[in-house]
Amino acid sequence: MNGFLLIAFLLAAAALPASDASHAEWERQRFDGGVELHTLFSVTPDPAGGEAERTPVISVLRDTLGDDDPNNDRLRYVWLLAGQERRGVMKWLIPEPELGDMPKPLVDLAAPGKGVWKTVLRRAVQASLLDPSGVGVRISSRSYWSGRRASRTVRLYEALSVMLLREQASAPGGLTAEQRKQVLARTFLADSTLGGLAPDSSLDRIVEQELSARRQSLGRNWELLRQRAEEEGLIFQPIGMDDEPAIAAMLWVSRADLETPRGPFRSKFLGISDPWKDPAVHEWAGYTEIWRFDSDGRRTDDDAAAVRREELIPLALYSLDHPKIPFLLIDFRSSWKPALRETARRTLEEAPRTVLGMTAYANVELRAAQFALTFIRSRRGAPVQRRDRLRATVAVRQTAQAVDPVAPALREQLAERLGTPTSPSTRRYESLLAWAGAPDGLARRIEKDRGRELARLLHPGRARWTQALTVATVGLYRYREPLSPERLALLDRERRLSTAVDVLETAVESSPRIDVGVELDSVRLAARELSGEPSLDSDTRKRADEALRALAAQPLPEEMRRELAAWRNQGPERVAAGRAPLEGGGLD
Amino acid sequence: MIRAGLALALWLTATALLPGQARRVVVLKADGLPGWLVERMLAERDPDTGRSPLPWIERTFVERGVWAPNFYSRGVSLSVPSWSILDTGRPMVIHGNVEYDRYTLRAFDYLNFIPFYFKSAFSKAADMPAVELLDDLQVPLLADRFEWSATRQSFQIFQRGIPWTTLKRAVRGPFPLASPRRLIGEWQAGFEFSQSIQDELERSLIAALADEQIRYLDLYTGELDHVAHLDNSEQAQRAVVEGIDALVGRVWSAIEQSPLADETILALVSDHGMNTSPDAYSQGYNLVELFRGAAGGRHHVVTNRHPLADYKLKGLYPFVHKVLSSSDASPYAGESPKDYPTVLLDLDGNERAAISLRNSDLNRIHLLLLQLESEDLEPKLRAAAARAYADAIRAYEDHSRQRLDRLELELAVLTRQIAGLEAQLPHIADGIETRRAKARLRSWKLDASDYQDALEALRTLFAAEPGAGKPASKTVPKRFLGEPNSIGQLQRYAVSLSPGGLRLGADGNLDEERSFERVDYFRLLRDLRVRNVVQEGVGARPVDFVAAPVPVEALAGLPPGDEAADFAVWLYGGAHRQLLILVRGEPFEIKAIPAANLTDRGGRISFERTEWGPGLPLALYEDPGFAIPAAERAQWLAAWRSERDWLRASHRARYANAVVGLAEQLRPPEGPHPGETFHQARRELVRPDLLVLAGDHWNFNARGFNPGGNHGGFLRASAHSVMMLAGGDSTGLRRGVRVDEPYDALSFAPTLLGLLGFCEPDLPGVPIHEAGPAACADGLDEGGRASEAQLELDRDLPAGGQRRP
Repeated sequence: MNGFLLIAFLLAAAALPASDASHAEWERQRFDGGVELHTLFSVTPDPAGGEAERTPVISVLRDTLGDDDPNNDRLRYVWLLAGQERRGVMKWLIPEPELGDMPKPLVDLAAPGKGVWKTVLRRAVQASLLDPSGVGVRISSRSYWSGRRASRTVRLYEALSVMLLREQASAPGGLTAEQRKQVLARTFLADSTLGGLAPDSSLDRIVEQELSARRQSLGRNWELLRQRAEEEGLIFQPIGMDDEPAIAAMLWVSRADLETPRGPFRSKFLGISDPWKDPAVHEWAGYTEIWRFDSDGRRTDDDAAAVRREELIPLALYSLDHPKIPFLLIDFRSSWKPALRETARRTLEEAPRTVLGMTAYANVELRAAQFALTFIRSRRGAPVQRRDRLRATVAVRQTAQAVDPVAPALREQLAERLGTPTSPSTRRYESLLAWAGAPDGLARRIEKDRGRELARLLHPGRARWTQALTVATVGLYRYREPLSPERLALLDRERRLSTAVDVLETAVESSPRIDVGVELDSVRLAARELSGEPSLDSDTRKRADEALRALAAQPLPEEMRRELAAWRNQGPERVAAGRAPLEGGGLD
Repeated sequence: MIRAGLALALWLTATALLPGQARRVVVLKADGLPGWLVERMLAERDPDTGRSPLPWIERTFVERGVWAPNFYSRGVSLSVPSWSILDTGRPMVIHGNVEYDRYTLRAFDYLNFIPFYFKSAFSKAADMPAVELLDDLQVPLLADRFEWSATRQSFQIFQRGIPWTTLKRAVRGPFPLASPRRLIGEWQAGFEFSQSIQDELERSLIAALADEQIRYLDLYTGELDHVAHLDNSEQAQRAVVEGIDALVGRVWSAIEQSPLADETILALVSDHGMNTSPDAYSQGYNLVELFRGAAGGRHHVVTNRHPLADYKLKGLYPFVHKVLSSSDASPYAGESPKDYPTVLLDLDGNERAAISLRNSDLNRIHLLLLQLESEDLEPKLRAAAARAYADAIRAYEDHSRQRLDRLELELAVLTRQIAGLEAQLPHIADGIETRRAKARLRSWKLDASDYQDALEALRTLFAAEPGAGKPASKTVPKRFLGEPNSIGQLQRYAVSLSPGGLRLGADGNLDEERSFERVDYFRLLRDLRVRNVVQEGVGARPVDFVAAPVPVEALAGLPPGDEAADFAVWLYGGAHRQLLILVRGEPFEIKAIPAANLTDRGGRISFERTEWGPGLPLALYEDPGFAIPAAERAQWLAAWRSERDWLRASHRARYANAVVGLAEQLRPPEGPHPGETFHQARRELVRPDLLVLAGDHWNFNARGFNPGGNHGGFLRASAHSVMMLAGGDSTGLRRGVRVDEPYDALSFAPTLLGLLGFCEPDLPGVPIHEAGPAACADGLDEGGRASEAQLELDRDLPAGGQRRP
């Protein structure tokens, strides 16, 4: 599981103003037809004082129906815009990503499960048609998809790492905190095969779990590495942005300490060879740093407070953003060992499927063996999941360039080994903007989406069986309703009702007394909304009835009880089920 | 007719005068909920809505109940000892989360619930281990005032029985099979069994409220303790507190709708706080490795869990209660480490560690015997070693004779008790009582057997002649730590032979000083330093101070009057930074004496008395949070003070209630009277030699990593806990009362029991008078006099006993 989301979301919610440090900003652009594009830019100041570099990271489409009322807004598409050149160890870990002319949406927030069946279908085709077609077809097809998936994963994590590591300034009228959370959760889930099927009601918990798991990993790995460094007589340096938990750490050895005999070196969790007996360390002529320490043993820049100076030799860089153990990224004594290890891991992970054609689904013994091996290795702290390794690497690469504790000369070394964003790509964003502004681009897309939304409302039965046709025609046919001002008004009202139900359900579930701990005004507004014309959607109607009943059953303030009764009495008479359908229906 | 009317009038009058009385109590037990965090959150307001982040706690307890914001743990701020005081109202009888018997090495692991569940499933246990111990010591729980059928307990440390039905329902919870999408959502987020169990327990409690016959209910949550240990972020911890607030809301709303609403008291209490900061990780120091290593004595170390358990397959085994980490360089080469562990560590304490070492004289005996087995020893040295060995055996026998004699008597009593229980067993009605009796019988038989073995091993040792051909492994008792170490032994602990081996003195006897390598554990531990000091606010020293009990009768140089102290505690913060805490009476009267260079030579303990000044353990002199003005402080500290006075003076200091807590923690066990109870006697043998207190944001966790935060020590953040009460109209509980007077855990049970109508004057804690009328003499202080606080309260209270903020 990826654990990026939490801190990013929290930073986003804080909506801090831009500063001189690297940060991120949201920008809103409005388009005809009541649509907005919200784009997150990574902002890196120019050290020479010139204009800051702005790189688009992620874009989100918000359908506002042309007004400023957030209650009828719907988030639709999320586009990943990040794309970067890779060098150094990143080339070993990640193949080059693909860039298209118009980025495909990462996820449709209104229908997040849409892409799941495609993935399942693809895997079925791979397993049933391509794998049995011979080693050549199997290896090439699997390698291609594996590379594509890794590329997508890396771009996803690069985007998320910006949201995580950078303070975010919000645009006026920008995405609300709840909307940003939704974007984060769904973006994160996009990396999981069945993630799109998770219901909206799970998103909060998913986000919180991941945030919590990540924070705990960072803390635990920090402590583990510090203790191991202490036990082996090494110097521990955590690396992170100001006011954020450290996400990387380096180990150093003091040249002065090399003279003192030591007991056996235990490399458990460190993954590096014994520095004490290594002639390369004793004769080290590479990069070093001089650190000064005060009488408490704390590193200091104050010459007056320093009681000792030591020359330190870098040994290793670790990512702390990895489940269970710190992940070794750089061994300063060897540029090829981490890469070799990664190759070995990937061989172990992929050879059964790719080379031998043994899939875990078809081969129970393989499945059991893989499970057992993975369990044992992960229990002992081995980095067994490629996705976790990718995440660990991407996060550190971003941070290492930005943090002060890392000296500039060392930053260059790290950049050389990890890879740097040398030519961040804005091509996707430009393509997106061009498409959004074109007459047959965004406006047409959103019209179709609204039409389909209306179709589900007006003709739910028909919409369900036409779904099968959509699948059968691989998306060529999609049932939708044509739009008109009246239908837009209907859509507006239905969205408000749906939002009101969410508000009321949340309020009623959160407290046994609505007047304790719940914001009453929003409840009042929601209740008023729901007391009027019922929704066309049967599920919304049912939920609204249940929520209103639950609300009425609570010990309400007298004033609110009277209001509720008055609204229900004043509302139009409920229309019987089976309202006459409006005319319409059509093809894409 | 007139008499009847008069009787009726008298009865009505009496009823009106009688204080209100609760008939039911619901206790929400929130493990690790820090008082300082609740206090901080209650002071906050949402800038937009003006609402509190804890609306239910505010409404239920602060506005309409009783809140004691200055409530503290008593003793180490650790779950098992703290809950033992809260749940019984008695002084601490359990001193750690795990205790080891020095004579049998039996581990009493109070936290590991899995063996208990397993045994219960096979009807081999009825209660959690801590409850079994309390039963042996005849200390009742709060809940024991009620019939078993009238109680509903949740899963917790001091638990009787297991609600199996609830558990079965809970296991189904995380799998919403009816909804595949929800199932996928749960899978993505991670199936939460523990939350499912908690939810089910809550549902069960709320359902039980509808039954008027149920009079005692409790619900335990360890969520905050769990989260805060791992995650130091404010948002994670606040989210849990908000969850507890919501729980209060649900439970209180259910109480209000229950049949006994007017007569029910709701209590929210926690056992300790949490020392956590979003600006610093809590750093661990591995004492296991210290003791295994050369500097620490090359010991074979026993802990109750595997070090780094999460990284080992062995760590998955749920029934572990004793793990041996052996030293490759042990001085007892050739002996099996399993047979001769020499250190027992209780490390569940996070900010504190309890250390038991094998008696230093036993080490010398063992080392001498091993040398005498060697054929290389030259004759003079052999003779000197043999004499030294014989002397050591005699000295050890003399030292332990009193205990051994007593043990023989107590074992005889135990044997009779076993026979008695066996005879009773067939007559005990089937059900939980039978299981309880059988479990007790098994435990007693194990004790009897283990102790007989220990005594037999000692007799063998005392009877052995050196050079008689019997190897050490057949002579020196196995799995046996022997008598607790004296201060002198801990200051000059024999860990091994010196590098040069045995040496002869000028007089032809063994030169003890040069023959053995010794360690001063006080200095060793206090002087520990780390290389990497990388966090602001976290120093280089993992150890703040070391504490050990000191026999008062051995203390030389005490001023007149001070010799009458009952017991003493020594705090070592350095050669010139020491504190002697003298304690007498019950409730305690305590005097603290600054000291330096305390030394135990042959049972005579001398020390230099110094002046009060900064830098002493507990920082009493210089702490601005200490309530006594600086100008009067030295004088105040120089006198005997009651424990109430100490609590009032120190509760806002850096170390809250530390002096009283240390006295409580290291007080000698009660009794026993010879021939009375074996179980009381055994309490002496589970006392550790040393209590090590960690520096701020340090911990001694070896099982894993607790970077989020820890507790266990006496720092205010760790000791500051929560105590809040709310009650229906007929309970007599006052409303809107904030009790600024400090209290500690000993006050919880008498307060609650008083409100429930149980008059138990033998409970030593001071009831919180401000909360409401007590069943016993109301408003009396320890001396039986109306307290000033109570008089003031009675003057100020409007009619009805309600107070508005």
